[in-house]
Amino acid sequence: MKIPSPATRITRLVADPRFVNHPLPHSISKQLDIPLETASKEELIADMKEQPDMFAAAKQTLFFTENSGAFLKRCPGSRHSLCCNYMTINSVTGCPFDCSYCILQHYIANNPFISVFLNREQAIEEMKEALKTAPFLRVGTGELADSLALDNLLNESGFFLSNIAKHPELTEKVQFEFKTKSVEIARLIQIIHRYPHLHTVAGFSVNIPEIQQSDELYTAPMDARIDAMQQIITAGAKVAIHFDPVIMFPDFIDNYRKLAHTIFSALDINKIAWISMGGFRYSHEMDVTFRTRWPKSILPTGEMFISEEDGKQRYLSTIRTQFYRALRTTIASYYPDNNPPLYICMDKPFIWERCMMTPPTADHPHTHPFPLYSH
Amino acid sequence: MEITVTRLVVSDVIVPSFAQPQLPHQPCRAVVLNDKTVVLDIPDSPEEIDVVLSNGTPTEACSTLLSLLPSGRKQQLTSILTLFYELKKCCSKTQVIDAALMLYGDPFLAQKKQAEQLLELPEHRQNTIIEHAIPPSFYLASIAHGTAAIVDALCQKADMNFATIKQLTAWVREISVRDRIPFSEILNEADKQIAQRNAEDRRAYGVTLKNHLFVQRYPHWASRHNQAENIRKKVRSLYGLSVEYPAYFEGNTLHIKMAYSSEKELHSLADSLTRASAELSELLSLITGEKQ
Repeated sequence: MKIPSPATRITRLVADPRFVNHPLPHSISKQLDIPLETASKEELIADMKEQPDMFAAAKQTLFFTENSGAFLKRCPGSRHSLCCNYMTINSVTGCPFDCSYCILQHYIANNPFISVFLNREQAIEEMKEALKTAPFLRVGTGELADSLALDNLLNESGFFLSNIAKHPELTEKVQFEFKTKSVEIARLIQIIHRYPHLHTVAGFSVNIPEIQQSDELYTAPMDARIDAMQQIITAGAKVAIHFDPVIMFPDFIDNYRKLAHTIFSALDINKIAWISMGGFRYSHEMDVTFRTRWPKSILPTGEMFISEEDGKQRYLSTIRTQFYRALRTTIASYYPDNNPPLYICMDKPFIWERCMMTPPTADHPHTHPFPLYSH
Repeated sequence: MEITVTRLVVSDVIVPSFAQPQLPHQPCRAVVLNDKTVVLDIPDSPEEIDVVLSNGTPTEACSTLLSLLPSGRKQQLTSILTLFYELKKCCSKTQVIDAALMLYGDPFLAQKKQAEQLLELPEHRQNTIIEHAIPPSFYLASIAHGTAAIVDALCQKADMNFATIKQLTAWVREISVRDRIPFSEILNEADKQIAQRNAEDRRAYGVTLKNHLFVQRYPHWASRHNQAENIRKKVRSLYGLSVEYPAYFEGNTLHIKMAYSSEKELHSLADSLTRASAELSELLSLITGEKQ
């Protein structure tokens, strides 16, 4: 079955008047055959508020503007959790997919549409600057956007990888991840062929089909994503796999084991850069969003309690432990040394200990593919 | 029809002259005795209040009465509903809302739609809001989210404060979404299990219902916490050791608190620790998830 491109969901293009002469909005306008409008951010927000379904309208609108802040940031992680030293670049915010748990819904009043920052060259300079003090950067564009969903329009992969290839210090010391729930890999594969020497990683968020269908609208089905992973590996790059968010109801544990078996039996483990797992967690502000936009979602009905440290709701620790152990055991069974490059995202050190995932020490420096630190 | 309020009775005290009232921020009831007299029943009224109204239009009279009701933002809608509920024989919905707008001014305009919705509610629902002191905005949101039936059912069965009603409404909704069963089935099932025990006592019924729904909403936690508490109590009563574990089991470390003031007591404690080791190990495995 052919998966419709997320780009076909885009119905409106708007450029900030200051950037109306930038070539990218015009080329996309031509590609999609949609006229380019001009409006300031404030005007566009006011217009969105007039729409009968603001969310739907916003997710179909590309707004071309500039990022007045820094592009390169440390992944925010979570207080008191063990973090993986990941850096993020926010060259786009927002995405055409509609996931029930997406925190961006909470920011909809201030930044509802998909913002494309046209001054992304600045991100290249920021990476060069960061490497003056950091020995290596693991960096990705998937924190506030889907890295590949609109790649055939925005050419994020081409832009970042060609620029990294131009600068030897970046070529050597940057591992760049494009994280996605799509199968929009055609352009990325072309770029991988063009720059096979780069440390390129295609990260795929994965979930059990029940959740993908009910709570991750318009994303690609799992079998299509696994097929995309295989194509990336065949092209010569590595993949990353993110079991995130893991939805922890007792009935689902076998489904997650099955998902892990399906993925790892289909892939060459030597081509997997890293694997993460993160239990579903959410902050209090999302309660209203769940009640109003996703009243039938089972996600906020798990056995979750507020953590004192960061105010986020998490599953009871014994439930998290059970799921993480089940996933770890299943994944580890595909590794001859029983030691996959696996980490837990945004959880506390005691959970790592319970799952027999001790952070790296001097004696065992290779437990993880990158150094960890406590938040 | 115009009403003229000539006498205001507050907590059965009739006072002769007008003064600015200092009213408590809690729901009050205005009761129309006849077209000349309104009794404003204010619990624990702190002051003598003297109001004379004459020859006013219904809107003006309503506005004056609203000014006597609690005027905090959260109470505004309740005040209007209360007034309308009691005065609807002689005032229209429009007159009450106009009075509110006259009194509260432009900021109230944002709430006008809510006030209109509130005044459209069936009488039994208006009564639920007033009798159980439920914030109208919460009730209207419950209607929008399809959970007002839960609120109605809870209010009908038990005496509970608003915080409990809100909590139980959320639990029933979440159980319903998770287990894919209707609200009514959840509440009927709870009813069956509780009915034999204390259906007569509305307050006790509320407490039992809350415990029942908690177990249904958080079965894993309720069971595990219950087991942990039983072991903790056993260790305390049998061996005199006080054990503490992290809230919601968020940690791998348990603490044992002991005190001794002689060598004999120290030996006794050491002996207790040894004898309690099986229970202490079991507790640790419960907390850390070793025991599933």
